[in-house]
Amino acid sequence: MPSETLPDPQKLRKMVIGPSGKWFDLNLKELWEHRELLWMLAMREVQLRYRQTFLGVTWVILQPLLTTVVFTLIFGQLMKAPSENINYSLFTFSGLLPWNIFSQSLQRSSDSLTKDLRLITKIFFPRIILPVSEALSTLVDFLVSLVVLVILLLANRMPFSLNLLIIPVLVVFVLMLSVGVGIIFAALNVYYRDFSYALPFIIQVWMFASPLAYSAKLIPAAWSWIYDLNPIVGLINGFRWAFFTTIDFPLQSLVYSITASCVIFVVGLFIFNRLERSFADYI
Amino acid sequence: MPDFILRTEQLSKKYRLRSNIGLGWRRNQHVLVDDVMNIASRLRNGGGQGKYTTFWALQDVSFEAKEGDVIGIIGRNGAGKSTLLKILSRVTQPTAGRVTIYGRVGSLLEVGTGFHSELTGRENIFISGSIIGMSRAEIKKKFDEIVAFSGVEQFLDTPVKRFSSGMEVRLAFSVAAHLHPEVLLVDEVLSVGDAAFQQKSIAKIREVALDGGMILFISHNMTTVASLCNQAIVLEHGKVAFPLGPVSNAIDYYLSSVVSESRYELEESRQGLTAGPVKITGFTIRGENGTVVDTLTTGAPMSFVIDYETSYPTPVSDVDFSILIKTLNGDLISNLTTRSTSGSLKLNSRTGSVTCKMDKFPLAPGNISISLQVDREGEVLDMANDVFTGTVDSGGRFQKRWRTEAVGWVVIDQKWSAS
Repeated sequence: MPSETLPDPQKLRKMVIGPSGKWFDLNLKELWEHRELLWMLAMREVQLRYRQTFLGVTWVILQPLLTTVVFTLIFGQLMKAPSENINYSLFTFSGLLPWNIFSQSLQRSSDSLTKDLRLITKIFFPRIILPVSEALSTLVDFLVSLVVLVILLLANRMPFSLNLLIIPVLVVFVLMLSVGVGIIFAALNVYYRDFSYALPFIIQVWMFASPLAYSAKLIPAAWSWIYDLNPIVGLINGFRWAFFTTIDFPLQSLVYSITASCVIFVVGLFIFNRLERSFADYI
Repeated sequence: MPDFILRTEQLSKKYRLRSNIGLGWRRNQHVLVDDVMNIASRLRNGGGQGKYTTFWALQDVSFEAKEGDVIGIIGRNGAGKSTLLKILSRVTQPTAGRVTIYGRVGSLLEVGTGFHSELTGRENIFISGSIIGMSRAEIKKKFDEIVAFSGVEQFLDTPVKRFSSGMEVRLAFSVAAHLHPEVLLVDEVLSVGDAAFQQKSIAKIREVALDGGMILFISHNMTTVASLCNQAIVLEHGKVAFPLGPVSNAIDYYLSSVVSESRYELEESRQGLTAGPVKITGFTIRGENGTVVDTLTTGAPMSFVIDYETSYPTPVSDVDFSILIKTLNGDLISNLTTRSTSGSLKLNSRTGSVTCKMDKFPLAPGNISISLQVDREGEVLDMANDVFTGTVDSGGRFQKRWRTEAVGWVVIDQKWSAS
């Protein structure tokens, strides 16, 4: 590799540091150059998460399963929540897959900057890498849960369809939505820690406002327009459509969710970009 | 092709200070309620500035560095050294001015920045290498070299939390030193690690400078600056007080300025109080042989010298001087006072100085502040808060790994034995 020999002065990259006057200044080239760091940090999160736990990776399987059991007992058995004529546990578990990506990457990405504040005050790299790597690290949990769900579906002799192919696309939008919200919280957290206290509550309310333990059909038609404002609803509906052949394609809510995810992602990037310049001064 | 590697032009950085009654001045700390109130009041009053006061941490700093330069940045705490480093490493943006750099910038940072204690040495090499800007291929290629330099081969697959702090420092330094940047920023890291490793590190740093690069070195330790750097700049209150020049001249300038500086700071530290018939006019710290120093050294002979001026008809007796040594949190570590030792002093002339001499300075390495007070017959005549805020250095007298372990505040003479 040429970098090992004496650097050729002609080839040295010129860099100019000055006050940034631009309104929006997302340096894609720099991001691309740091793609390895993104990957390494995401892997670091995965490696760290279950180290020093007794059950280790088993937690990845246990967490959604236990939630499903609790939901099934309380909402399915006691409250008889509707599940569109699908086995209640499977119905819930399939909804938890996208929800867990969303809630975990939202929670993790919003904490990512304050967690690594020593890095932020000492070294330069595109700050967005921290929240995005946290969000990506949740995909490992997702893949494990996906395998569990497929096994459960097979065990229940449920038919599969090509609808499954939509899942990677949906995952991308779930990530965009959660990163979009997550980086806004992450940036605000730097300035006011209040946001880190508010977030768990927000996520909890958001969860009950999403069709996880019940079907979205439960919502009276007169109210469904306000319910569907929740951008994760369409994505959860989409997931269920992919797994269960008896469900209709949720065209309207899915189109809305995808649009909303993109808008929120861009707005998030914009806010983050505006605020990141002075992170090191405030953190 | 330009004839410099790094150039700064009128580099300036402004910070906002916020006032909080009862808490003193806090830099850039935000409280949601305050900010909302502030915005609300600004809206009510139809625009205008909020209750911010600004200060320039760095102002019009210009210099140029060529290949092979090892430049020391000298200055007291708060002179703008760290701000300069932060701007050069792109952690924070300048408010005005410009920096032009040809090549990569690398920093030797505080011990193990980017290290994670749960990860093994091997994993940490990769993570911290890529954080500081090396590619995976580059790390792989230099991996053996990094490991050999650090000397922690046997512990590569042990989590870093089981490392001694010395080992962790060596590994962190090794990773950073193998980046081979054109501009290397070094901030006090050399004060950690054992003597042998320090030697090795200094040699490595020189190698970087000669290998088509340059180094910017920040330290409170004038001995290290003198031995490592060939040029230096002195910063005072964010401005260049001594422009880039030979290191020995810069150090001379700096040490003499420490004395005159203290007068300036006294006015600030009096915080609006007016002095009584005995006024403190200066404070200096002297080390061995009476040389003026700006860092305290554990276990070394040290003297505190307070200059005064009195409007009493002299001689005046029963004057008490106190030197309060506090932690940066404001907890009192010790109160050196004439009341507890030789008894009150008698001042023989209208101006003069009072010296408090210690054979072996007993504080452990850490950061402290010093406040002064003069009273007579129970009445406070003058006081100056935080006339000195600075470091107590281990001065090579103790195991260096103290620095990162819990050292406490006081060093007690001790002898150990086993039977």
